[in-house]
Amino acid sequence: MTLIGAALALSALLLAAAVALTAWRMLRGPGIADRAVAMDLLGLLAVGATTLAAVAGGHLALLDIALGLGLVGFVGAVGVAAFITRASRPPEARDD
Amino acid sequence: MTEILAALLLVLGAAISLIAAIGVARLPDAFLRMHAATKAGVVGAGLMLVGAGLAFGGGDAWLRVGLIVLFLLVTVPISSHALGRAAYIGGAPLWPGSKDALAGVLPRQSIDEDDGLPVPAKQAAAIPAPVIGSMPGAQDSPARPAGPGEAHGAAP
Repeated sequence: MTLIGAALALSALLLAAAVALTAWRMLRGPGIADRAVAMDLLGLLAVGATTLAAVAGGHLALLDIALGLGLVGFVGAVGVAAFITRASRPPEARDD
Repeated sequence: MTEILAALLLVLGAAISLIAAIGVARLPDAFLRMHAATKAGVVGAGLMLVGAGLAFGGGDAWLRVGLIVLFLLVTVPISSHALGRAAYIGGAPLWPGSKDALAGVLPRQSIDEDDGLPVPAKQAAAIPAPVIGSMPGAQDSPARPAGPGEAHGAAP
């Protein structure tokens, strides 16, 4: 096994543990904010995992997919934040 | 030499991502978890991307790596700021050891500690909903079509 191959295997193992811990927090909660933060980190971990896959397979195109995943994570986090903010206002303060 | 550096950066990035995940799993409240997720998460993903750039070599790979790292550095602070603000307004409980520096600056929903439901929503649910069709003047005002916002204000 080449050096890069060994590094990829070790990195994939560490990332799998990270995804497991983040998914546990996402399922556990306890609030919607905790789940949203876990979702944000899952997006970042997905970018890292896609990067590992790009190196492992030698496909540069997977880096483009990593860029797309980062974009989706950003839009999703901002959307959830807007939802939480809007849903938390008292009814008499809503102007929408 | 380049190969050694690339392997080192890949493993280091994955390890820092794992540290971020441990922080998200173990820290006591939503704000501290966000602190771990964003900073360590961006460093972890960025180091792995730089390692990938070294492993690929060539301008094509470095262009993509630079774009993604720049994009992450710009957007992750924005999204984490929005999430933290939303968590504060939504009434996510603070760790008892931290100081509420935003008290009086931002509105904050209060959460019942027993069942986790917001207190104003429970009060609103306790009031019986008025029947909108029976209100005088609710139906005979065709000159001013009632928007969805007015339906809220006209039903106390």
